[in-house]
Amino acid sequence: MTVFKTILKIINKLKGMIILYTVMLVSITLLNQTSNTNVTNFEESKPDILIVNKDTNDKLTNGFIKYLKKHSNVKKIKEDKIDDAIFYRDINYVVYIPDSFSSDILNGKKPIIDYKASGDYYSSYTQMLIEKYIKIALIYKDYYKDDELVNKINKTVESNIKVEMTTKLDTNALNITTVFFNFLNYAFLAGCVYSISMVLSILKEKNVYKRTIISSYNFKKYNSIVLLTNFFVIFAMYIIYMILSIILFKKIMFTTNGIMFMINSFIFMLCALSIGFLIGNITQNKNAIGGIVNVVALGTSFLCGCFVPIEYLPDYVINISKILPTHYFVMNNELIKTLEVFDYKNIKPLIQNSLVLIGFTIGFIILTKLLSKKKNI
Amino acid sequence: MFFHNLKYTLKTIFKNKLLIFWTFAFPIILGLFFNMAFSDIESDEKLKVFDIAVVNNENFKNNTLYKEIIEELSSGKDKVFNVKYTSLEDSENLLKDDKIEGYLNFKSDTPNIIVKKSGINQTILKSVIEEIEIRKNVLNDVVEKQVKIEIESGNYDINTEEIVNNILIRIDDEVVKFNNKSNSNLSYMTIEYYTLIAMACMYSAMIGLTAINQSLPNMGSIGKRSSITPTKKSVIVLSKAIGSYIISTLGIALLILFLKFLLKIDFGSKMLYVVILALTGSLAGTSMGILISSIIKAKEGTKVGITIAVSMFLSVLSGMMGVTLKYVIDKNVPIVNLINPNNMITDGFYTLYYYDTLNRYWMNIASLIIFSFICLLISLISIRRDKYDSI
Repeated sequence: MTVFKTILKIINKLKGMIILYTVMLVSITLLNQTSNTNVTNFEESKPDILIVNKDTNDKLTNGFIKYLKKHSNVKKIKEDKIDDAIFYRDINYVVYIPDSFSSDILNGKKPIIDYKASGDYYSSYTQMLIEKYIKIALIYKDYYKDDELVNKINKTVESNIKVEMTTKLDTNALNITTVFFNFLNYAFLAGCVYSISMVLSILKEKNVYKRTIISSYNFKKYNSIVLLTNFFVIFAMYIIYMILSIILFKKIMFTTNGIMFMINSFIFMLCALSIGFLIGNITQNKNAIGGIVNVVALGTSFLCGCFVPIEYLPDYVINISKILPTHYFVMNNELIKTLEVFDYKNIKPLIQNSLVLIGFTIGFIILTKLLSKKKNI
Repeated sequence: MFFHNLKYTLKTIFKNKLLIFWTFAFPIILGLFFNMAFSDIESDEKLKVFDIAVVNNENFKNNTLYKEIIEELSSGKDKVFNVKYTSLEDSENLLKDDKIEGYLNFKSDTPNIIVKKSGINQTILKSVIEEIEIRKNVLNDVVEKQVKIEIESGNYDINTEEIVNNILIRIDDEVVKFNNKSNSNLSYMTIEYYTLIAMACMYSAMIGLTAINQSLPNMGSIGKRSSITPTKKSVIVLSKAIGSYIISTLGIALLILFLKFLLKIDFGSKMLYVVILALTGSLAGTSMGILISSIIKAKEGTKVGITIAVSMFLSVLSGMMGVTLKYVIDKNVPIVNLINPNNMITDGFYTLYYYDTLNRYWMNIASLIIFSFICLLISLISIRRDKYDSI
């Protein structure tokens, strides 16, 4: 009990770190939460655009603006803030409608459209939309006049094609849940592993350690209590994180996908525990632990796709990350995200990844044993 | 005496491995991680050719219009997608395994689009099919009108094929003229690296802090010893401050060289201004360290903790954990970032990279100098004439 209490006392001193990383976990998740609610129907992606209209109130121009408003989110931004907004992708496209826009079209002159664009796919798509409209207007203007012209263009441009969606999964909610669980890597490694390594380093401090081994207390028993207490600590954190996930994603966590997310992070938690033990045994220098843990936590998170979605990572980075346990944890999360049918064929890769994770855990434990044996002599 | 002190300040700081790790190595390691993780984000943002499938049934085979256009859209330099012509079952499987973004199934003249999820590629697929439908409608409308016109003008010998061909040529010929007015440097991921430099500048606060702590009698025996020497306090403090400034500037210089030459980060074309900004930035960081060290009466660990917490918090606000945050703050509560030294540095680099004009850059430099001046002034007032009783 003395050992148990001591460890809890040390953890209590380190609680700031754990709270910090928990707060980061929650805030990153909330930041990523898109406003889109459950979508099981197809929804068009809408670019964010700004319309600067210099043409006077003309029917054709109004029809054009109405059309753009339907297919994009039109934002209001001050003229001097436009460049910043484009740079930070607050808007994807600014279209400047020239004052001669409608008269040019009606006279058969091709209007010149000035624009500013962020260069991403949304801006390309916006340009497609604009091009489509003007092309039709240029042809129809020979055959229709005034109101009829505008009506006709707007009717033709909206040919409504039905799109069927096959998945019944709530992809939005699953995406954000995956962000949370992927980020858990950072929270576990930076928060929990830090605390565990610190606990070990404090217990292994020369004088404390000498006093411990010289005492009549059974050393094996002492060791197992240290191990169990640390397990208890990280398990408690795990429970807190799971409760958080249930609060944040009620809909998902009670489905099979949700339970699989939980099992996966439990396996990873064991691995994190073994990493904590390893680091705590490598060095007793408290300041060095800060450095090592930070590099390990940030490094694995960046390389394995916890901060940046894995589909954005270059292939060579993904290949490098295969030597890290986090890679298998993240891969499992990504797999669970898309699972709809839970048969053996679909679950097999999950099991494989989990086995690799368990392999890593055992490897770290063996390594720790070897290192600590060497030091004891 | 000044140079003697300066020499030993440099020596002691360089021997402090942990300090050198956090201020020299850590930003470089982080930069390396950034580079690995972020290098593909922006190219992924661009429109890419994606894969679709078309169910190769009788309806499709007989639909010459679609056949031709899909063929055209999936070949050549400007192709929009790659097409696989397969059976319905294969299309379903391809979609299930995420091998394609969607497939077309012709149950009548118009296809059904089947996708797995909503997204930009799916939207573009829809838009392309819509465009083909529009083409069909325009053709019908215009042919009808044209025939009417011909009849009205008394011409009963109508060659429909010619009319259709003429209109098709017109549809293809109507090219809209676009004129791009955006700035050419649009890579917003570079901001991440700028925040990294800003963070490194703020981390140099730790160097200033450690150096000044050595001269404070309440912080340890070195401080006590140097306080009882006949050397003037101003000389000691000044040599410590300048020593830490030299080291932090060295760290920043290494980081910028690493970013520029190894990671090939674009700093714009005005290198002299980059150097000025780096010098002012590290001055601001060191001054903040000196301020924290001199006004807070606490243990060294606490002071370091405060420095790290402050600089991390300022880094986050200036966009290190996602550039959007910087923009949101700039847009909604600009005052926060106007007094945030970290943002002044980031924003300075951003201005050099993105804008042609320098007004905003000089504003940032001026703010940084004012910030450093205030920090140093407060520290000076707090350190000077400290007297200790002999008990």
